Amino acid sequence: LGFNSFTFCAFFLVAYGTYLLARRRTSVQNALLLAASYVFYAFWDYRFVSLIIISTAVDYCIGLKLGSTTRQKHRKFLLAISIVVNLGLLGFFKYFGFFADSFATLLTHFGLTATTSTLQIVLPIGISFYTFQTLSYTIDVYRKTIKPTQNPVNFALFVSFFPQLVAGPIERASNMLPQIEGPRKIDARKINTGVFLILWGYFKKLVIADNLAPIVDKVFDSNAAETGIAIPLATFAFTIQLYCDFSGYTDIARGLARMLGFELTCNFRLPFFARNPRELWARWHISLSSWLRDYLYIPLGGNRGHTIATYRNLLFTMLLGGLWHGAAWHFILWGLFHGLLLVGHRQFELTFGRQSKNTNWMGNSWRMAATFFAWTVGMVFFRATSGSHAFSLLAGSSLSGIADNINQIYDIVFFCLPLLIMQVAQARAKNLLVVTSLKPRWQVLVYSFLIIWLYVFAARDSSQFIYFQF
Amino acid sequence: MHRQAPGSLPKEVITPISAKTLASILGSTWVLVFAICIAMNSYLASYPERRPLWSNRGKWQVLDNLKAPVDWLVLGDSSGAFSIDRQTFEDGIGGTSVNLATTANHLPITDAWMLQEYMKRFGPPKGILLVRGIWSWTKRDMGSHSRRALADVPRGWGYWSKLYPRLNFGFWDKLYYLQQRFLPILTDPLGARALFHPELETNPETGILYGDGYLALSTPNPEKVLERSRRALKRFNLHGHNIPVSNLYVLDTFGRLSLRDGFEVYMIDGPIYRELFHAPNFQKHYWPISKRLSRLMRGHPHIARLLERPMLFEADEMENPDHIVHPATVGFTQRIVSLIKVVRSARKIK
Repeated sequence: LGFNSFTFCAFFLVAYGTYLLARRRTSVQNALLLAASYVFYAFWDYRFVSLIIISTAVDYCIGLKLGSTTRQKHRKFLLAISIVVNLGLLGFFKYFGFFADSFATLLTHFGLTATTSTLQIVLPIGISFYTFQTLSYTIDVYRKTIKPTQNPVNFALFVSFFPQLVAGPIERASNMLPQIEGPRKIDARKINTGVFLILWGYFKKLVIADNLAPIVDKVFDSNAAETGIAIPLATFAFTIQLYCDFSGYTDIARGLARMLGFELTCNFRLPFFARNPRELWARWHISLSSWLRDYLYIPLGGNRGHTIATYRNLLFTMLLGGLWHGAAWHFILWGLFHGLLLVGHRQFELTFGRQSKNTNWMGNSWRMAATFFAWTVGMVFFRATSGSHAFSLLAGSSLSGIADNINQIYDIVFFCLPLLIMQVAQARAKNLLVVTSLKPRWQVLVYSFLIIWLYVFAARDSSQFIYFQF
Repeated sequence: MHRQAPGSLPKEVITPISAKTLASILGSTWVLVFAICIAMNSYLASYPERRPLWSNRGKWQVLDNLKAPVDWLVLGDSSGAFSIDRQTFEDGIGGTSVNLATTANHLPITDAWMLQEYMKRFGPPKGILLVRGIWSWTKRDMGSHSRRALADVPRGWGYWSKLYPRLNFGFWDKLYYLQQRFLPILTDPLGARALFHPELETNPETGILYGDGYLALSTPNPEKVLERSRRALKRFNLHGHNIPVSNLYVLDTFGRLSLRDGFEVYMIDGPIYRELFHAPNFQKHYWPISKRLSRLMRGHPHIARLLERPMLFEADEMENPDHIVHPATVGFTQRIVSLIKVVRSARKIK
């Protein structure tokens, strides 16, 4: 039941209509949304609804207990239970096979053989997202930054709110619970921005990401080793595809939530305009990077200690960030690559001084290009099927064979052009909702363009959202 | 992992807007989208990317543009549209001809409609050659593809109930007709795609429609033949052997009119890729329908089924499992002509 299916459109229309009928009763609306969220998840795999319910029940009860006890030892014990249960579920379903296989491989290096009867474990969709969401609730209650909610329906809705259930943004209780508990208003501003986000999100996914996918798949999924410019082109295309796929999902989720009266966290703030790796992580998958910062990096000591300790914390955090994306070595390498970029950038600033915020446009453009280039190189690790595959692709990259790839270049330019125009407009206005601030006649033109392009260019065999696998 | 100074990042600034302005924006958007669709209509109507639709509509236009009567009408699906060589046919059989054969999705019922439209203007022809692949006789009246093809008949609202046999258009079929007629960008956006992005054109022009309706293919495509054959074999599992009632009415119409007006009707299966025909799955599908068709023909003295089985061709003579290319078309046509001559001499027709 992906957003890019007609079944979802029908599902949302029914859910939305029912939701609006109950607009005077927040508690009824919450119950309806919860039921809709479980139905939505059951469409993927009804068996795993029980996992969400277990995770919800554990953290709800632990939250209540944490709120009613002051004994630090007892509180720590409760927090530990939450962490063990949540990470236990995540670890079993997502990482068990990976660690078992890796351990067996390690043993063979010492001349030992291990018979691993690896379980073929199905990964429950969205588990990485809702596990982090529930964990953040318990930790925040433990830290006393929020009060535990008393209402189980409200808490269950916080965990399973369907627009963001399967691929985020990873919400904080401090943002969502007050919205769930209080009355919600759906006004023209919310609908207008919601419509824009939904249209723009679908455009990014169906027109840009899905049309770039064949260029990417041809190189990364091919058995025959590609060489030459096909690799950099496919890597560039994947960088844009991943962004449009994921930020497209997020925009649709946020747009749908706005139509329902909710405000979800902004997950992307023009990441390709970042001037250094640190800024990039403040613009890319913000809900995950801020989660890692608040619940991992800072508790590890952040940048409060010695330089070496800061670097260790950065590397460890990014390594786990990579592992969060998937149980595979190429994701760990991707995390390590970004950890090293952050360390390198920090060392650069320590040596040469921090860059001025008011650098001229030439300097900014150069920094943006360098950051984008580094990000794109990292994408090879992200998309490759293994670490060795990534290195072989990097080794095979060159600028030869332009003439053979002229169609791919044309496609990339054609599909990326609307993205470029929109993002330049957003960056110049420093407003991600710049379209909704245009005069009505210009808004009509933009909306019409998006709709016509969606009709004409939406890929007929739209693939699933990439981040659903995480 | 530092918190970036919030001031340097783009924000979401929500601009106030009244419900009335929002309604006018959304309403105007749909009006503009609708207007753009209509503006693209004429382009999309003739774009070769939509060859099936284009040739269906094109064949009706060939019929409308006929200035004088002809001796022979060639009717049927694309196997008839692409496989008859005009020169060979007219030299062999004598007289003039026009090829009105369309596509399989343009159901057999349209053959009967075209014949009646022709007869209204010019009276009965001397003879009719009906070439259709066996599968087009078992197609449901209003499958999704047929719905699209029938919506492309260039006739006004309600044409489906004005011609005989009448076809039952349901609510969705009528809605689709309106969409296809006025908003083709919604029903088939491939042509529009190529308008904006020529690189995406996936099926460049493969046939040229002349004023006499004859379509010519000259480049064989063995890979496509093999691939489509594989697909066809999978599809046959889903097809039944039943001939829908509307097609029985079609045969009845041909039989009745030919008896009344004394013209001849010759039916033959379209050419088939040899390997596909010999596949057990195809054989299982083919023979029950073929036998049924032959049985039905026997009740009509002016209709003759020329062969009990189709003529077979190799992949390098074909563009599709049922489309042959020149010069195979010459051989196919010569064989048809000789079979017609045999029947005519048996019936003592000059």
